[in-house]
Amino acid sequence: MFLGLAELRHAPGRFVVLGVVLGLLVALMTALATIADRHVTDLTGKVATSPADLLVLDAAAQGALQASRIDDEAAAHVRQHAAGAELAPVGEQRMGARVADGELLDLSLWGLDPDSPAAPEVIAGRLPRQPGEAVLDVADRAQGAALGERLTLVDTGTVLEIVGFTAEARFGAIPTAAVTYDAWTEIAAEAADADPDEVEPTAMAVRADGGVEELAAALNGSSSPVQAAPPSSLASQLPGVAGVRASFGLLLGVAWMAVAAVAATFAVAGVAHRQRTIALLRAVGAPRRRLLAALTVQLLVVTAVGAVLAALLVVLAAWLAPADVPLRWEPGTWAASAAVALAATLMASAVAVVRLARVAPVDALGARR
Amino acid sequence: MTGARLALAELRARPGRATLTSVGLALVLLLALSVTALADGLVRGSTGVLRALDADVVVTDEAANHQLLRSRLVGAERTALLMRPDVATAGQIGLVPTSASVGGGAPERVTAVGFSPDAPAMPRDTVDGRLPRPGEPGSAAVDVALAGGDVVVGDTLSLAGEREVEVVGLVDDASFLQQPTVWLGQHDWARLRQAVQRDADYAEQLVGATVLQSTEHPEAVATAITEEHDELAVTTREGAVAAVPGVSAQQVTLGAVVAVTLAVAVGLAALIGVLQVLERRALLTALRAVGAPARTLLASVAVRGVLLWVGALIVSTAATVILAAVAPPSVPMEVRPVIVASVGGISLVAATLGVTAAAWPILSRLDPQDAVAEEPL
Amino acid sequence: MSETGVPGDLVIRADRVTKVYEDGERQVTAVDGVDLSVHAGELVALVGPSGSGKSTLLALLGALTVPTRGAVRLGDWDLGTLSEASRTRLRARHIGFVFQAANLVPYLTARDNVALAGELVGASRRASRREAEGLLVEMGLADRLGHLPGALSGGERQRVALARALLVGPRLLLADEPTASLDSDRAEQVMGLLAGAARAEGRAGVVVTHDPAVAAWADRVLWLHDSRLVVPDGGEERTVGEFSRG
Repeated sequence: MFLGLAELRHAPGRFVVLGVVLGLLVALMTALATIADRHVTDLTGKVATSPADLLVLDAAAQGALQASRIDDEAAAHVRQHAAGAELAPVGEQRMGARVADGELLDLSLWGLDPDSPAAPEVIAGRLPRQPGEAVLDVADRAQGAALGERLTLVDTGTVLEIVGFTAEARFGAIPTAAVTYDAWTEIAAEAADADPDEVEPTAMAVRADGGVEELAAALNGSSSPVQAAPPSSLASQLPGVAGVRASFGLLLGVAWMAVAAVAATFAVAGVAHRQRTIALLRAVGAPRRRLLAALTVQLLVVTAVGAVLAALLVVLAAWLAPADVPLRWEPGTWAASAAVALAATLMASAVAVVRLARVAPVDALGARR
Repeated sequence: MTGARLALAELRARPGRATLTSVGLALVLLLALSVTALADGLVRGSTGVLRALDADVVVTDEAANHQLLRSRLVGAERTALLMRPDVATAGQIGLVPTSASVGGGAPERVTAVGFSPDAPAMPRDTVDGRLPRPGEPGSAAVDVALAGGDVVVGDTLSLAGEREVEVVGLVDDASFLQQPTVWLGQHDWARLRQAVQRDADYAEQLVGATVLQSTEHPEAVATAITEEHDELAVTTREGAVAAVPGVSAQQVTLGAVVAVTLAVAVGLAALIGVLQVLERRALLTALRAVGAPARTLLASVAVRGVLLWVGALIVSTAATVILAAVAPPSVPMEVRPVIVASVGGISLVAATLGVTAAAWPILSRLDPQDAVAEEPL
Repeated sequence: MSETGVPGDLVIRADRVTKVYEDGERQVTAVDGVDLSVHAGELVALVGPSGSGKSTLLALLGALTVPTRGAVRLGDWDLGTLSEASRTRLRARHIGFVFQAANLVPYLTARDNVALAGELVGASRRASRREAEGLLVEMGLADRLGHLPGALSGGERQRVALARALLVGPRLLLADEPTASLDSDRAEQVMGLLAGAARAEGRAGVVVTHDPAVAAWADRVLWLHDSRLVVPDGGEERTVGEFSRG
């Protein structure tokens, strides 16, 4: 350990460059992991945080809420197979909206009854109980949302009062509001120039007393007009989620390999550069494992410094990032990225063993082997 | 050219030493290429519909705020806009999310696009067959991405499990929000919409956006229409592409990731520059002693770095192509030559600067006298 | 010879030792059937032209490499039969080296370079540093303890190397051209210390050199030519005067 640290002190320049490179890579890994997590939460939070045991969609919608309508036949199917369970309609529709007199926003408007299995949890204020009330997600405070503030639906001219906030409950990565189901049907009907009786729920929420899996199996039986799944499972099937996970997972894998390769390049080049000193140390009786330990200590120290630098970079980037970039400072994600980078570094120092083995003590003498 | 010869000679003599360095570089470049290809694929996969059209201005209702899915314009706006001198032609499109299955296979999510038989509303090219003709119900042109590319002209398509249409043509690169599209004549589309959105107002016509070919600069036309029509949201095709949900956020986010990756590449290049000089200090000092100027040695280091970079770029391009091929279909990576050229070009310039900037301070301080010094330390 | 003129115990012995190495497709015999014994209290000089095999013989005696044929014995150990790990431990504990170049670890101070020898045999860092300081003070380097090798003169570096070689009290001291880069005054000073150390405490020393002045410090001078000892060990040896003429 002493040998490794002494060299770090003696020639910090190249270690600083390595630390910066590793720091940037760890920052990149942290940012990728955070963005992927936040993006998935932003896409699916409203579904994933539903307190229902099961959500039921139109089977033909293939898991896409926007394409789902629960018609009478589907509703009858649910009632028949879920007798005894508590059922509630769920509505979802995209609309244009303004918070106070702010910019025109795309809004995902949900109809959820406050005393039903579909009722969302609020972290501030209360659930909407009257037609003119709505809750928004806390992330939409960035758009100027506040308790008591107005939310205007541009399509219908409806003005809603914000009475509460949900958390981690956005949908489709856009501002997400919820009103009572009856209020939602009124708004959806007005937007479509239709009669409120014609408006069909987008989905159904089910709360069972037990036997959720059996109930789901019964609802999903052959030629069923519906697809029933627990909210978390449905959230992962929503459009785009698999793509985000797979894409960012792929990038993280490549970034991890890059950390290992950069550290290995440095380790191997370091052995080549210090060949004479290593030969001298071997000649005077330093075992290989001691030299390898010195190299590993150097790489670990540099990676640790890189990880700290990465933390600073991510904090800075999260602070500077525009509102629509889902980058936040999440210590857990950073710690996981740093740990993965340290593991990659350890692997890299193992690569240097091969190079180290080629340095013979006799090289210190300049004599033939 | 002495520097280049020195670099080439060393690479030939000790190719093994360059290998690991190249692997490190190739992985960082692979990261840069993958992120760029992914960003490109995501944006293209979300906006194919708009790019496939021969329109340069897109009109939605004001509340829809450029969102094609939400717009509820009908034919009246198209007719009114056609009267304008700055509009050459106009067409109507409507989008509805639904599902489709080919030949009784498993259904997959698609966007059904209804289009009027007007030039700006029709895909410019078909890769096989043709588009449905006016007055030809039960026919569709489909995105080649449907059914994993296994769909052919003559197949039967079931839409939302409710309507069957025959595939009469194939279009390419026309997806919307990462879903393949199915292009239908207006009556088929209106009936499908009624089937899947039973609460929607019934209309035997397209409900959606109006698309235009302008006779003047598209931005000027968009501004002029906006000023005259409060009830419309008008933008250029590029504006409509940027307004597609998620596109601008993806561009900013992944653009930042690409920038950081390129910064890593520059840092790595600097590191390689430093290591190259330190590793060869004795040799470089000896070369200084026999009269090689420092700039020749710098050229040698830079050329070596560039050669490693080019090698790594070739390897990483091949790796990215393989990665894109083996990645699950949900990963929309597209490796286009323009991506390789831009990432390769930018990174090469940045890397050359990184290598030389890092190597020069050490090279310029090499003392030829050290070549005959009593003990190299 | 020992200080009493009576040969002490045998420290190291080479029996018909041969070292052959590969040079591309060619096989080169660097040391060819050399017999050699060095006793406690004795300093032996190995001299000969470049390429005669001096350094290879030193590497064989120092367990830095193993013979192709023949045997090298240090005390009871047959160096050729030991594993690499055992030879590493043996070098750390029983053999002290003073090399010509790259003799010190460039990023350790003079004190830490010397203390390293103690740490390699398991002594605590603190104790090793204390001993190292004592030795360096004895070598006249009291004011150079915290200096890095780059800040020391050639003579100072060789004295630090000698201190490192002596720290653990090795049985054998090996030096390869220890004064090659020093002026005559400094060479004299270093050789005085080295010769004294090589003969002290029942130790034996072998020094490889081109320099007659260095060879003059030795009790015996062995001449290598074309990989062989010209006068076999135990035969009639050349005097220093003959060597300087030859």
